[in-house]
Formats: sequence, structure tokens, C-alpha cells
Amino acid sequence: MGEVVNTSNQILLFAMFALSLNLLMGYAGQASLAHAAFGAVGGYTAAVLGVNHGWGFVPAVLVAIVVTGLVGALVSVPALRLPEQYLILLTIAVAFIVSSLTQSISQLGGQYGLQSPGAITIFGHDFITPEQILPLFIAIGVVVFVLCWRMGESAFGRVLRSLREDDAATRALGKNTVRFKVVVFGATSAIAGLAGALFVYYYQQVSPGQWTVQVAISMIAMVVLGGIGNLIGSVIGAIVIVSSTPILEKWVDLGASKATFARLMIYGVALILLMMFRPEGMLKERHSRHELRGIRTEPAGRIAIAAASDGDGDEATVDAATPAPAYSGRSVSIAPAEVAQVAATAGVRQPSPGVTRGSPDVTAVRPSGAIALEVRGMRKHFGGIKAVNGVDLDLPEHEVTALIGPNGAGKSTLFGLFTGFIAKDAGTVELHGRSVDRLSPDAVARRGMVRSFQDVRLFTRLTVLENVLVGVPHQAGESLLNLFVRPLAVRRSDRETRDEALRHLETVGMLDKAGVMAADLAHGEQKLVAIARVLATGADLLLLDEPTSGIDPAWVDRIADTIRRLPELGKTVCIVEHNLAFLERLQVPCYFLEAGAVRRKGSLRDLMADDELRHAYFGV
Amino acid sequence: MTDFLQQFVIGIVFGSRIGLIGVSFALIIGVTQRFHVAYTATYVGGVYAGYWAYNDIGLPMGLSVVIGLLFAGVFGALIEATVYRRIAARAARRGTDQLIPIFIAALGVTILVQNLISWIWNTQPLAFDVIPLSPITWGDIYLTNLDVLTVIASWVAVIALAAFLRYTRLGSSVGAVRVNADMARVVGVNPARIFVLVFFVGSVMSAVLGMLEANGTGADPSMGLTPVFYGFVVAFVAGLDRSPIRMAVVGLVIGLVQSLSALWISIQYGPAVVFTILLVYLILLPTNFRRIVAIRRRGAVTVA
Repeated sequence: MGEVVNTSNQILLFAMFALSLNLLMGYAGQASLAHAAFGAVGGYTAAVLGVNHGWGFVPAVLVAIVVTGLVGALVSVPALRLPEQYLILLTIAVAFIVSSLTQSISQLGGQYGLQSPGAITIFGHDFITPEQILPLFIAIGVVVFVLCWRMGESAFGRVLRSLREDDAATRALGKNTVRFKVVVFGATSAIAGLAGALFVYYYQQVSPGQWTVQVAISMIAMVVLGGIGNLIGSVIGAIVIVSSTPILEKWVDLGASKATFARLMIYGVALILLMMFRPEGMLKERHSRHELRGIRTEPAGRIAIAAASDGDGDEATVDAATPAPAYSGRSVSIAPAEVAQVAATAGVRQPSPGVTRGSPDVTAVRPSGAIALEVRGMRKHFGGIKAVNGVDLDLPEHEVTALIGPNGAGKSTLFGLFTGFIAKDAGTVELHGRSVDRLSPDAVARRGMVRSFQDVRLFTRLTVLENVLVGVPHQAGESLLNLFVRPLAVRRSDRETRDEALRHLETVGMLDKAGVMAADLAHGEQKLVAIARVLATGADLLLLDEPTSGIDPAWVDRIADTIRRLPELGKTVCIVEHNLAFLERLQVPCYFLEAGAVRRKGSLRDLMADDELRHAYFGV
Repeated sequence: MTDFLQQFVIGIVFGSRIGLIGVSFALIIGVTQRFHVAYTATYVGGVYAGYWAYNDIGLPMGLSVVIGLLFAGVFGALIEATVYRRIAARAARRGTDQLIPIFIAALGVTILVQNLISWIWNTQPLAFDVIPLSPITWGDIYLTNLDVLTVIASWVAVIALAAFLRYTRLGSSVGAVRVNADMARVVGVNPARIFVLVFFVGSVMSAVLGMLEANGTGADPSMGLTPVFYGFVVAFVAGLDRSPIRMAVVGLVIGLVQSLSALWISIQYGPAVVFTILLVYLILLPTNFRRIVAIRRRGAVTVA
């Protein structure tokens, strides 16, 4: 019986480590070998306070939590703007340093560590025997689980998972991923510090041998075995792995040291096999399909979603109960004449007058006067390659403007330069008259200029709805403080965020796919979701990088239709595009770029009537 | 002055050692993009295989050393060919990240090998006396014949590798795969084979280092963590794409700094000094970031 209680206590301690490590590794995708080392930081802090300074249990543990959280956040800072392998490198370094310092510093007791930090006493109540401690640990374990659950299954956790999938794409949506990483590193380290301190009080001693890299690997094994990104899985992982020790010792009768070796060998084999055959672990990641539940349970099976316009109260009714695509009523029916025109423009290779026939004048697009984005003297050289060499550009407000030109003309590079993803050599960018030159990509996005990517870059292991949810700005649930202090505000914000995201999915006609994993979408559908994601940011200037490349003609119509409506929603749009038939349909002014410079500006018809430009583009 | 010279000599020996660790480590990571923490496993595995051949089978010492080195090389190549390659191919198929799954599997290999060795030989350090130690004194400066051998062996290995990469056809294939595996495939280089070769060579070097260490302080199942720490620091501070000689020089400098720091602060803080160098470097890094070749995140290398 005593053995069962003891094992249960150990399980609870390691479950705390595994839960917090899962938040860091499973949700945020930051692998760490330092989790045991952070346990040591908490454990040694509590022990030093208890043994050398006579502190009581509660204050010692609280200080241990704070110290470990700060150490964790500090360690993460230098590596955060670097590729993630530097963070792994730093965690390995931390594991090594903590192990070598605890072994060699005599004030920490060297190899033997420190003994007897004092009894676990809370408000005069003593917890001495394992049986007395068990209820306490259960209570603390439940609190830790709830904390981790709240962090993981919230808007905060959603951003963590999106940055795990694609850090740059998350920043492009206006999320300060550095802040999220520091916060999650600090929070999970703090929990490891708590568990470490409890561990030390439970065993009444702390020593370097408790916190070796092998222990860190065991914690990783719990997370991986249970399921990456699944908190219940981490608890199961802790149960399986901790209870394997007494099972091997008692039932298989290996003896203590051989049992330890056998157990660790089993973890090793399990880790290898899991990564080879089932990297997601036993339990799969949860996906917030519950956000869709509200729709399905509406009495009539229909919900009303406010149309995405300037608050004129217009309502579009969407049938959500049937999987019939909401966009079906909107899909463009292509008139035969239009088909002919598309065919003619697509076949622009033959220098035929058909290009111009029947297309209305570009000036038919409403002029609006104001300039949304003003670019002057933009220059970027990569080594000897002049990717962008002195570009001046104006994007008129509430209009669609296109950048065209041959491959390598510098079009996509321009988007990177505007949004701060690429550092420019020279030039200025003003968004609504304010410079954005010195802002980070996420700050530019929050200022109202958001880009999409040529290679789409959806968060593949998130659902369509989750992808769009990440785009929505100002979510109360993205702040840990709000999550724990203002739950009602978070709830309201979550509901508003959901409605907002659904509305944008409806705009692009993807509402019926809301619960589908992004990885399972057709390429054209992914492009539409990417547009919805960009719309969700609420930015008024959208830079769309090849929205139709590599997709089916049927989808091209849908996308053209969507983009054409954007100015009515108050958006200014700039697209990079190679599909001339598509541009012809949009009827937008174009900048023709070649070799990093603007050659000419005008309607597509005018540009393509210019033999020289046509030659530059098509080589004919 | 004597203290300084003594620490300087220690620093040269230590720096040469971690230079070669960095070189072999960066050879593997830089070319294959695998986050190969299981470097520890070949480092220790080679030592114990040599020990087994000598002690348990009774083969001559020289032959046992060769067996240990070959074992490490083949073992490293097998990890690549059976485990990493499969994980990378799976990740590429699903469009997910290969970095973390490979890192975790490498941890699995590490913990498996360490405990298999502990199971067989227990955790007590074993004497591994390939060459009997004898002191060399030079004025007041003290070192051993093993120290001299360490320096010579490290630099010979570094220069041999540099020459191989630079002057042989196979070596330039390695370079081609490092720069762009897909392009290399187009010109007829098989990246899968190059990966296996690189793992073999890097793992043999790891075993050389393991044996040199074991010869001095005995073999111990957990001796692999420290070299991985220094290997990472040297490889990342020098830059993964740098030539072996430059990398070894960076290792030498870091070794000297750690050793000479003992003149001012207690020797037990030596690793902390190196850690501080790493932190400062990482903080300053973004300014010259473009020079550093990072591990490519997504299935850029799809060797299957």
C-alpha cells in the first residue's frame, strides 16, 4: 500500500513536469532538454532557502517558482529571434551548466546535495507521511492541469500552435511571436520550478543525480508517448513511465539498478519507434471543433452572420446544418463572351488584338484619391543580385493594384521589404502617411498592412477555422493575465473572435470546411483560406502574393470574385500575379516590373500592347 | 607566469580536442541537417566496443582500437540509414518539421546506448589504457604523452578531413550535398549515400575523441554529454558551413579561453565561462546572421 502511495506521489510530480513540458514542446514546438534542469533550479532554490535560511515551505516554494520562471524566460531570450535549433542548443547548454555547477559548488553540497529542507507545512498544518502528502499533491496537480489546460486550449495556446507550425506566417498576421515564446518559456519553467521544489520537499533532499539529462529525456518520453499537444496524454505518459519502475523492480524482479537501466532502455527504444512510426503519440492533438458546435446546435440549423461590411447591419444567412457550400449562390457564372475573352487573354502569346477586345476601360475602377501606401527609392541587393533597384510605387486607397513582370523581377521581394520581413538597403515605406520602416513584421501587420505568401503557408496541423482565428487581432484570450483574471471578458472575446472568423470564411465561401484540417484541403481551397486569414487581421492594406498560382481555373473565378469585392469592404489590395487572364478579369491598374525596377504603369491592355514589355515578359 | 604557461598548454590540448569535436559534429549537422544529439552514443559506443574486443575477446590492443573505431562509424551510419532517414521521409511526406522528431529519436538512441552499456558493464569508470601514461615536464610545465597525442591526432584528423573535402571528388560531392541536396542529385550525386558517408566519418572521429578521453580518465557510460555541449558551442559559434580548419581554430580559442579563465576564477566555473561566451555570441549574432548556415527547417533535404 505504501508503495502505491509513493508511486502515486511520484506520478503526480512527474505529471506536473510533463504537462508543462508538453505546453512548451507540444503546443509551442520548442523542444527543451532543460526541463529537468529547471526542476533543479526550483529544487535547489527551495532547499537553500529551507536549509540555510530556515524559510518555511510556502514562501520557499513561491520564491522557487518565481526564480525558475525568470531563469527560464531569460534563457529563452537570446535564442528567440534565431532559428529554433539555437533554442535547443541553449537548453542543452543549460542542462550541462546546471549539472556541472550543482556538482561543483560546495555551498550547494556538491555531489551529495542538501538535506532536510524542513517539513511541508501549510498554515500550521503538517504533511509528513506520503499518505498525508498525497491529497496535497493531488490538489496541486489538479491546479497545474487546469493552468496548463487554460493556457493550451485558449487563444494563447492557438497562437503557440500556429508559431509551432510556421513562425514567420504567424508574425505576418500581427502576432508578436517573441513575446509568446518568452511567456510560454517563463510559465512552463515556473511550473517545472514548482514541481522541482515539491520534489525536494517530498524526498527531503536535493542532489545533482535527481536532475540528470536522463531525467529530462524521461520527461520528454512522457510527453511524446502520451501525445504531443495532448495534456491528458501527458498525464497518462507520466503514469505509464513512473509506474514502470516498480513493475520492473518487483514483478520482473530485476533489482533496483538493473531495473533502472532496463526502464531507460525501454524509453529509448520507445522514443525511436514512436518517432519512426507514430510521431503524434498515443493520443492525438485536440482541435477546437467545439467552436463549431454552436453552429450545429442552432435550433433551425441556420445562423445569421453579420455581413462583413461597415456595420450596416446587413445579414447574410448561412445554412450551416447542411454541408452545401455557402458560396454556391455567389459563384460566378461565366458568360460565353467572358470565356472567349479569358481564352483570348490567356493566349496572349499570339500578339492578337483580342487582348483588348471587349475589356472595359481601366479608369472605370472608382478613383479614390488618397494614397494608402507610398514607396520611394526601394532598393535591395543580395550579393551581386539587384533584386530591387530603386522602386517608387503608390497604392491608391480602396483599389486593387497589380504587380506584374517576369520571374525574378523582384515582385515578391517587394512584399517582403514592405512588411519588414526582408531588411532593405535603402528606401522608405509610408502607410497612410506614417513610416513603417523601422517596424518588425508583426508590428507592420498590426499597423494595418498584411501579406500573404506565394507558397500559402497555412498552419497545416490546425483546422481551417483555427487558421482564421489566429488572424483575428486583439483577442483577450491571448494574454495570460486575462485568461486567469478576466475569464468573462475572455469568453466574450472568444465568441466575437469566432463570429468574426466564420464571417471571413463565409466571405471566401469556405464556411463548410471550417472543421477540416488545413493539410487536407485542396490547393485552391488553401489559397482561399489564406485570404480569409489575411482578412481576419482587419488590416486595410492586403498584399496578396500570387493568389491564383498553381490552382484550378474553377477556383480562379472564386478568388477573382472575392478580390473584386475587397475594395467595397474598405480594403486596399496589391497583388502579385502571373495569371493574365485573371488580371484581365479584375480590370486593375498594373505596375510592370523588370530586373528590380518599375518599367511602366498602366492598364494590362496598354502594357501588353507594348511590344517591348511583351518581349520582356514572354520572350516573344 | 608558470601558471599562465601551464594553463596555456592545458588550453591548447583541450582546445584541440573540442575543435575536433566541433569539426566532426558540424560535418554531420551541416551536411545532413540532422540534429544528431546521438553523437554521444557513437562517442561512448566506440570506446566500449574497443574495450570489449580487448578485454572480453582478448584481441590485441591495436586491433581492438580499430574495431572500436569501425564499430562507431558503422553504428553512426546505421542510425542515419535506419532511423533518421525514415523520420525525415515521413516528415517530408506530411509537410511537417523534421527537426524535433529527429532530435527526440536521437535522444532515444542516446539513452538506449548509455543504459545498455550500464547494464553490461555497470556505471563504474573502466580503465582504458591503450597507451600507458607518462609525464612530460618542460621546465615547470607538466603534461602527459596522451596530451601530445591528443593534439597531434586532433589536428591530423582536422587537416585530413579538410584535404578530403577540398581535393577529392567524393569530398566535393559532400560539399555539393551540403549546399543543395536536390541540385546535387541532378548532377548525379546520391545524397543518401553521402549522408551515410558523412555519418560514418563523423562517428569514427567521435570514437577517436572518446578513446583519447577514456585513455586519460577512464570509460564511463555517461561521458558523452560534455563533448556534445562543446561540440554544439564550437560548431554554432564557428558557423556550420565553415571549413574544418577554421572550425578547429575556433575550438582552440574557446578551449584557451576556458583554460585561461582558471587564472582568475575557480576552475569549476570553466564550463560557465564557455556558456557565457555562447550567450554573448547568440545575443550579438543577428548582426552577422546571414553568414551562418542554419539547419533548414522544412523538408529541404528529402533523402528517402
